[in-house]
Amino acid sequence: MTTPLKLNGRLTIKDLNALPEIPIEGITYDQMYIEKQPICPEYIAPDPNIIPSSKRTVVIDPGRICMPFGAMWASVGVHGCIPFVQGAQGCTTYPRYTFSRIFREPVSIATASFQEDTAVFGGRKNLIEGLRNLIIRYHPEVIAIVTVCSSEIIGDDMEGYLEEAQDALEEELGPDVLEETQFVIIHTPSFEGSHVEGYNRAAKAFLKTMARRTTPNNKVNIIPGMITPGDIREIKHILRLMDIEGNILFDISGTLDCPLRLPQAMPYYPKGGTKAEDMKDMGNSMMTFALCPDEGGAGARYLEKRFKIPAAIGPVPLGIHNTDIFIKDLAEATGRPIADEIKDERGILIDAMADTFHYTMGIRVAIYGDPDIAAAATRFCCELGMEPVLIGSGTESKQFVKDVWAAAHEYNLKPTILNGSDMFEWEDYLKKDKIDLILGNSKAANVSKEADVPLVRIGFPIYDRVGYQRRAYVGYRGGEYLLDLIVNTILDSKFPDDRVHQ
Amino acid sequence: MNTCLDYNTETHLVQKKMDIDLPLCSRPSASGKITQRSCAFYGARWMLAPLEDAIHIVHGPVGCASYGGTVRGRSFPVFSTALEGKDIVFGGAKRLIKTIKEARAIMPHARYCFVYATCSTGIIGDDIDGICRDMEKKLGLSIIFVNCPGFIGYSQATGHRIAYESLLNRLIGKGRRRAIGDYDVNIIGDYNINGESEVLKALLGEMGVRVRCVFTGQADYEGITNAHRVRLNLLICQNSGRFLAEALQKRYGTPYLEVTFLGPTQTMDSLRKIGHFFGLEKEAERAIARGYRAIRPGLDRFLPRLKGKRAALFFGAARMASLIKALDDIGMEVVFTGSQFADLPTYRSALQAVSQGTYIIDDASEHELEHLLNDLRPDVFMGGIKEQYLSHKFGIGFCCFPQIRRAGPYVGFHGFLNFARYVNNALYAPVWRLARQG
Repeated sequence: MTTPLKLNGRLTIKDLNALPEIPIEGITYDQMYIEKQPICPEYIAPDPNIIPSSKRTVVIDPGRICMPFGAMWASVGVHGCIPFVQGAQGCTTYPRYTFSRIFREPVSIATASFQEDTAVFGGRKNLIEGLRNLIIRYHPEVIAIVTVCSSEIIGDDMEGYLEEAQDALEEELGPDVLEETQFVIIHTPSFEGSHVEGYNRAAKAFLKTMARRTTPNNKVNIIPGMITPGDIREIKHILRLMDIEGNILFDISGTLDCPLRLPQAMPYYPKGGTKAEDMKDMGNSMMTFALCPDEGGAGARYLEKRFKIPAAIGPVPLGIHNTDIFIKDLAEATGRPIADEIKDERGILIDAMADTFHYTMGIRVAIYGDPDIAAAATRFCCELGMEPVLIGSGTESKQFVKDVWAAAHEYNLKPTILNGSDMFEWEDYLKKDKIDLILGNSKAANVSKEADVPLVRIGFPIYDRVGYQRRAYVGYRGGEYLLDLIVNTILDSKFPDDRVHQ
Repeated sequence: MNTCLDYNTETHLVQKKMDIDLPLCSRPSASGKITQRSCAFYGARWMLAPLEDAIHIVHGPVGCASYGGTVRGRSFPVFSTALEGKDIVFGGAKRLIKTIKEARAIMPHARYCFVYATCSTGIIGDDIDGICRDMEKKLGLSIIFVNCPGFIGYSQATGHRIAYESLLNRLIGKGRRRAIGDYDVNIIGDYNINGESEVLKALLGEMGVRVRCVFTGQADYEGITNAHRVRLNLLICQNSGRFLAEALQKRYGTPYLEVTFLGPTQTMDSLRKIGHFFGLEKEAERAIARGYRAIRPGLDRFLPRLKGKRAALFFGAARMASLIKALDDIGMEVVFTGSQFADLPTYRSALQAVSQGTYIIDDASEHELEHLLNDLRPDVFMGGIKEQYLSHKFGIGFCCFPQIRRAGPYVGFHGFLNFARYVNNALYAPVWRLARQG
């Protein structure tokens, strides 16, 4: 075998001339061997027995965040809603910091400001005083009360406290205040799940509190899950083309990606978000689509059980197959024909795939992310002729394994699946294998650099590059964008510049 | 102005007038407030995360470890016990013991280990301290318990102090005998943001002063355990570092000097102070002359553009007074200043530095910041990333301080030039003009 090539444009002309020969038909894949480099000089490979996360208790560089974060993400997507976090200050400040890093937007989240005495006496006083303080200053339309580890362990009786708080508010500010402001309680003890479950619980809690059945409408419900504002805009675009009206729950496209227009009204409230009356109306719809099975599936199931609204749960409409399912379901549920424009969009994506499969075929790819997105990305990679060999999800999910196996079976692959794993395990597998490309969030950036494998950023969270939150990955047009990202990354890293000119 | 101030703590906002008045501070935030403060765990992580030769174990559910992995704009490897429901009921002790053993196996070269408490473990009452001591004997590795559940104290300042306390009580003074150079110093309260510690080391190196350990920007096991073997401690962040500097003076008799390297005036003062202490006056003057001469042409270019502009500050606490003085060097005026967790001495020195009529606010909520920005309309706002995007929505240019994105270090002579350039960028970015035309 010839000397392994160092890629990423580190070759100079001199190095190239020094090599014995360059194959005329291009650089073959087995020559694209990537040397594994340890993190630091004194790096000692860990004991192989403790690498699988199932065999150890310690979690290293977790790929998941806490449950309240998911609930806050959901609540931020509601118009005029301020989450009230029944916990210490860090439980609001860390999420606000995370939102700011990802979306580059201000996010208002109030804290119950737990102190030592709260840990002893409970958070009753904090909730009652806090809600009053919040309402007087912000007049929010909805307050989402999010519990955290501490209040759940103390055992705060949130429902009881809220009733007390409402009585006190009514007495002080008059009965109107309870009509103007609605309260939703979301129980999110972080030790029982990750942000994925938090979003799921928020979907159920909001629908349980808000949705009512009055007169049937001709709308569909969409529970998007933790996808980007750009994704939600793409879903709206699809609905518009199909001439379908939709109620989108937790519409962050208008709250976490806002225009800067002067002069700014006071106090600052984003214009967008799901309105309370739309949420109420969700009890009347024809069908519910939960795009991410683990993020929002519980909401769809609740509506199915309570109001007999049929639910279509997952998969994320990312890539050809999954988007086909979504469009077909939409058409069947509403009885509308599939719009010609949508068929054109599909054709454009297919055309782009036909133009680029030479680059993508056979590329070995490792994927890491939240379960729903990772499963959908796996299928899309298969559709591009790539070989997903390592698929990890930070949160444990049965649906994720099922979806990935279905895709793998269809395309005759046997990937390694890490369900509910951490970055440490995933990184170890990645380094032992020959991987050409990583699809993952920003947490994979360090690994990608260290192992010298290029990274395509997708999923949550992406904080080290700009603009990803505005882009759509779902739908056919989102597929185009993701395809371009993947192919351009391969071109950047795998081929010398002078070989891509035709 | 008073429309926004009806929390119980009305006097947390004051205006400098003839009579000296300080804002009420070091008090818990009112509940229901959209506060910019964070928790003790955040503070402890902020302090201890850069000690990369240590094992960091967060004892609690996985979320805290997830958040605590990112500190000062960087990601650090972090271990978590990832408690689940059954551990909350039956206690997390077993899990912690196993985790410490496994972490040790994964990082065998580590010499010490920090175990952080979180809200959950603080409430369920695991005997973390006992476990740490027990495991320390078994594994032969310093295991330090950082007792920082989020609900302790009123802000991250508590966490800073707890972190310094744990270093002081468990590590400092343990080092093997090491020769003390005549000009050895420690720096306390510099956090190596964008390589500031390197700049300081180089600047002091020019005078012949050697920096042994930077708390905690550039610290390692050797540096920390030998922290008592120096001639002088240089205290930079008065708010978080004063405790350690005073304790070192009391315990080991090492004197400390309050210095700051923001802006040429203060850099010169500080270098002269250090020169005077060591009898290196000539070397100090030479370093000052060389440094100042190098940035003169740059200053001539930027300062006329910045003169007379109005700035507003709201950030952690760190160097409020020194930042105000640095702005004074530029010729900018401060319209309001505030901090999340500063103490009275910090406010007192800030009050002396600002001009008449300036507002000073402690623990401003988002609501109050909006009002202050909207009513006072500063030309540029300096603060943390959470305030950045709010400021943008009001069409006000923003400088991230102290975490800087895409701008060099601020300290020292060249740092001042970076700072002036950075402020200039925030002020004169064409986007603000275009936004107003819309």
